[in-house]
Parts: sequence; C-alpha cells; structure tokens
Amino acid sequence: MNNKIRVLLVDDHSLVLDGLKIRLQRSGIIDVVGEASDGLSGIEAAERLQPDVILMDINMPSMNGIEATEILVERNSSMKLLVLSIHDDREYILDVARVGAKGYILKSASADEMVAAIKTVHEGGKHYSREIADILLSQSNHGSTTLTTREQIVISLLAAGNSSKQMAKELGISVRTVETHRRNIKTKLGINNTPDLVKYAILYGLTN
Amino acid sequence: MMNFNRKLMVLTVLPMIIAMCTIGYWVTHQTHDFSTSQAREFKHALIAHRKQQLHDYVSIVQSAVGHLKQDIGPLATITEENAKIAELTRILNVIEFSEDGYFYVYDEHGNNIIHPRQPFRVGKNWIDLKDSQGKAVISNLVSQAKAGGGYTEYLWEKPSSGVIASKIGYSEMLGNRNWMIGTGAYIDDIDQQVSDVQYAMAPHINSTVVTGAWIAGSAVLFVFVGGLLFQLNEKKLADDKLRALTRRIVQTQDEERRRVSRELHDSISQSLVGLKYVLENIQSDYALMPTAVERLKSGVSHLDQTLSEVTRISRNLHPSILDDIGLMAAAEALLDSFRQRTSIDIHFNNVKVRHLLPEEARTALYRVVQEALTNIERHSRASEASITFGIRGTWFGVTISDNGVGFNVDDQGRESQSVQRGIGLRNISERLDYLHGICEIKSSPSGTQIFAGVPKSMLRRPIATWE
Repeated sequence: MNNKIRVLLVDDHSLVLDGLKIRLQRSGIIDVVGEASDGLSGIEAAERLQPDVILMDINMPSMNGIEATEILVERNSSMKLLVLSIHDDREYILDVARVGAKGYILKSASADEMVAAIKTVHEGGKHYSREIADILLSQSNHGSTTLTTREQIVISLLAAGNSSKQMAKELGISVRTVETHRRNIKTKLGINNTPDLVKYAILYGLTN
Repeated sequence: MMNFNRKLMVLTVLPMIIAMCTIGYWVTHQTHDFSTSQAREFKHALIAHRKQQLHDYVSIVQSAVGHLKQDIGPLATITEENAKIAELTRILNVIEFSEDGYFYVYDEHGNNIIHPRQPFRVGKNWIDLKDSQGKAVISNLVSQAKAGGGYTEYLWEKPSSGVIASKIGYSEMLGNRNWMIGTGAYIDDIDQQVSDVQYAMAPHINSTVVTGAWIAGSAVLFVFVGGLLFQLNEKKLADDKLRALTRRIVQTQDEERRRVSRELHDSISQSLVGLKYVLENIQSDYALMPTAVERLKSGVSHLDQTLSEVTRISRNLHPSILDDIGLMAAAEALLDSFRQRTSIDIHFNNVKVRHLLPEEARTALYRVVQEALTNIERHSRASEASITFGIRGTWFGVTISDNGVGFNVDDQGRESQSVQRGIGLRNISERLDYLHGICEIKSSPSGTQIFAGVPKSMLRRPIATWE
C-alpha cells in the first residue's frame, strides 16, 4: 500500500538535509527513509535500509561521494544512485558518470526537477538535467579516461602480485567484478598484458 | 660597493700579503748582506795568511844568506864584493816558492841588484816604475823596507802566464848595505776563491728565500680559500633560509586559500542551498498568497545569484576539483574554460592514474598550467598549443608548448610588456625550486616550451584515500 519511492539522503550539511527532506516529502511520492552525513556511513545506511534511490553529495568528510558511489555500484550494479552537487564542472560530472551513478543533479535545481529526476532514476532511467547535458555537450568529449579510485587499487594490488581471487577477497567484491575492473584498466591504459600493467604501476609509483 | 664579507677578506688578506712581502724582502736583503760580509772577511783572512807567509819566507832567506849580506867595509876588495854578490845572486836565483814566488834585491835608490825572473832589470834604475794603474812600485817597496819592513799592493806581470795581476809585495832591508830584499805573492786567485764560495752559497740563499716564499704563499692561499669557503657556506645558509621562508610563505598562502575556499564552499554555499530549500518550502506553504509568493521567489533568485557568486570565489581561491578528483581533472577544467574563451587549438595528453602527488606538488603543477595558459592566451598569439603530463627522465611533470611569438627568457620582467609574465614565471620557478623540482623555459620567435617537473620519487600510493 505504501508505494512511495524510498530515498536515502547522504549529505554532511544538516541545513541542506532538512531542506531537501521537506522538499522531497512535500511531493507526496517520496519517502525519505534515512539520512547519512558521510560516504562511509552512507554505504552502511544503504546496505541496512535498502532504499530505492540514494541521493549522494560529493564533498564529504572521511570518504567523498564519488568513491562511495563507486563502491556501492561495484557491490550492486543496479544500485539507483543520483549524485547531488554544487559543482557544475564537466570533470565532476564525467567522473560521476564513470563510477556508475544513474544521474547528476545540481543543488540549485528546482524542487520539481529534483523530484522528476528521482522518479526517472527509480523507474530505471538515467537523469542528467538539461543544464548538465548542456555542459557535457558544450565541448567534444576529449576522452578523459583516468582510472577510478577502485581501478587504481586493483592495479596496485595486481602489481603487488595478487590474483583476482585474492583481490576479490581483499576488496569484498566478486571475482567477476575484479575481472571487469582489470578489463577496464587495460582498455583505459591501452595495455593488454599483465607484465606491462605491472611495469606501468611501478613507473607511476602505484606499488609500495 | 663591496659587501661585508669581501671587505673582511681584503682586510685580512691584504695586510698579510704586505707583511709577507716585507719579511721576504728583508730576509733576502739580510742574506745578501751577510754573504757579502762573509766573503769580505774570508778574503781578509786569506790575504792576512798570505802576508804572514811572505814575511816568514823573507825571514828564512835573511837567515840563509846571513854571511853574504854584510858589507865588510873599505877593507874588502872589489873581487870579494863581486864574489859575494854573485853568490847571493846564485842563491836567490834558485830559491822559489809555489809557482810565482821569488826574491829580488834593489838598492835604496831603486837600482836592481838581483831579479831571478826578469834579468833585464838587473843593473838598471827602476825607482820611477809605475804599474798600469799609475802606482809607484819600487819606491814604495823601498820606503816600506826602510820603515822596517812592510807590504805594498800593486799590479805585476805573472811570470807563469804573462798576465798582469794583483800582487802583494813584502820588503825589508837586507843586511847593512842599504839594500832591500823583497818577495811577493799574487792575490788574483783569492778573488776567485771568494767568488767560488759566494757562488756555492747562492743556491742555499735562494732555496731559503724560495722556501720562505712558498710558506708565505701557502698561508695567504689558505686564508683566502678558507675565507672563500666560509663565505660560500654563509651564502648557502642564507639561500637555504630564504628558500625555506619562500616555501613557508607559499605554503601558508596555499593553505589559507584552501581553507577559505573550503569554508565558503562547505559551509556558506551549503547554508545558502539549505536556505533556498527552506524558502522554497515556505513558498509552497504560502501558495495561496500571491504577493508573498512573489517576494519569496525574488528572495530565492537572489539567493541563487549569491550562491553562484560564492562558488566562483571559492573556485578562484582554490579549485576543490584538485583535491576531489585530481590534477588531471583540474587541468582539464582549466582547458575547458580556456577553450571557451579563446580559439586556440589546444591538445591535452593526461596520465591515466590519479592521486599520485602530494598536495604541495599537485598545487604547484596546477599553478604552472594555469600561469602558462594565461601567458599563451594573453601574449603568445599562438594558434596551437599542447599540454602533456608524464614522466620525463627522473621527473614527473608537465610540458606546455605553443607555436606563438615567444619572448626573451633572460629578459623576463624587465620590459613592461612582459612584467606580468615574468613575475608569473618566477613564481613558478620558485615553487618548483623548493620542491627540488625543475622548470625549463625555452622560447624562440616560433614558439615557447615550458617543462615543469617534480622528482619522480614524489609519486606515491595515496593510501589514505583508498583505505
């Protein structure tokens, strides 16, 4: 009977949390089921509450929203995650898209847009507001293909001599996910064998 | 204008050199004086010795011819007298010593009686005979003899070689006939001996002087080099202090900017966002009161403006993207706005890994890119440019090049046109300098290339971000 969208808010600023909560509840189709104030507790709350949609801020203490998003998506690729940020730099948006968020919305967006975005994401779509689309389309994509934080951890563990199985255990993810990371790393770096990957890691000081 | 250290050097070294020279001169002079007086004494001793010999020889001859030298008086016959003279002549003709020693006899008027080596003198008067220097010889010998025996110096032909040489003669009266017997010795060999001795002493004197000069020179050199090293060390310490101070200033500035930026972004922006939501919520509550809604709407739009203003200020102070996503993304953000403002075709080659550098190095390289892009945009008139991050030799850094008009690297900051550029580049150099990094700027009329790097060893696995 309660078919409202269950939303988890992750933001370190209480005034924002309060405002958001009222704003979203007022829509009548959203139920804010939990609040967290940093990346780590956000992950914990997400696992505990199993919300339909997570609204994640970027700048937060202990673990930022991008890293938290990557870990949540890594554990459950269908995780519906919408990043909410004050930054309108293209690089932030691209980075967020890269770690698997389903959308990016600016904090300055109107209540209606925000609700619509949550609804879209909840229904399995992706939401990038018109402003965001404009920013993304303003220039051709220059293919900024830097590694994500998790990918760098994987290449570093690989260079230290770990197998996919060991890495999966260490990172608390499936072997398949590790393999996906490895594949992505190879594509991004344009390297297709492990020895060269290790060499690269050593060259850039990714090993101890 | 000499600096203090140089003055100190001059005041230390100069008196030392003067003192050394004075001592050197004095020692040389003294040694020379000493050797001259030594030679003089040596010569006197040799001559005295020779005079004594002459005196002794004459005494011996006097006793040897004792019976022949007496005039017997009017009782004697001419024959007897002649026989005595003949006997005396025979004896004196055979007595000789060393090579050129012989005895001769004159009467008190200068008539030669006996001369073993120059027989042509016998029987003639030589009282007016003078040597080549105009010195009366025979008259002096006679008067010395009459005075009881004495020495006369003159020049005379050496029988063995025929050369005119210095000679000392000794003469005294012979018996009671008013005759004078004399002999002599050449003293030219004495001068030779003295100069031989002097010659033999010279190397010793020289070596003493040279050794002294070496010691003095080494001392001066020691003081000089010591002073120089001291000065260099002082300069290095001062440089190090200055460098540390500069670093501290830049660090403080960076930290402060970062703090203010964070402060603005994390609290003020967020508060404004929160406020905006609150106002919007109230706006919904008052949905039925048109004027209230209008006022709230305008409040919200003001808030939006304020918000974007704060965001802009915060970003200018310190790009949060540098900390949140990394240097590559921050550089790309710079490029994005660069592309929006200019029509310069700019290429970007990034590295694929992130969080490699410590905060300070990251900020430094970011400022390099920022400064270089500003220069390209304002001064270069370039149509193309590129930014390449990567490892180069022992450095990790960024190369920024353009095909613009270039500038005079050495002249930076002097021409008014390049003042700003110069200051910017100097800041870059200083930042990298205290990170022990490198900043190379090559510029020609066909383009400029800047490489700025930090030691590769600075790349490190950023554990804190990952675990």
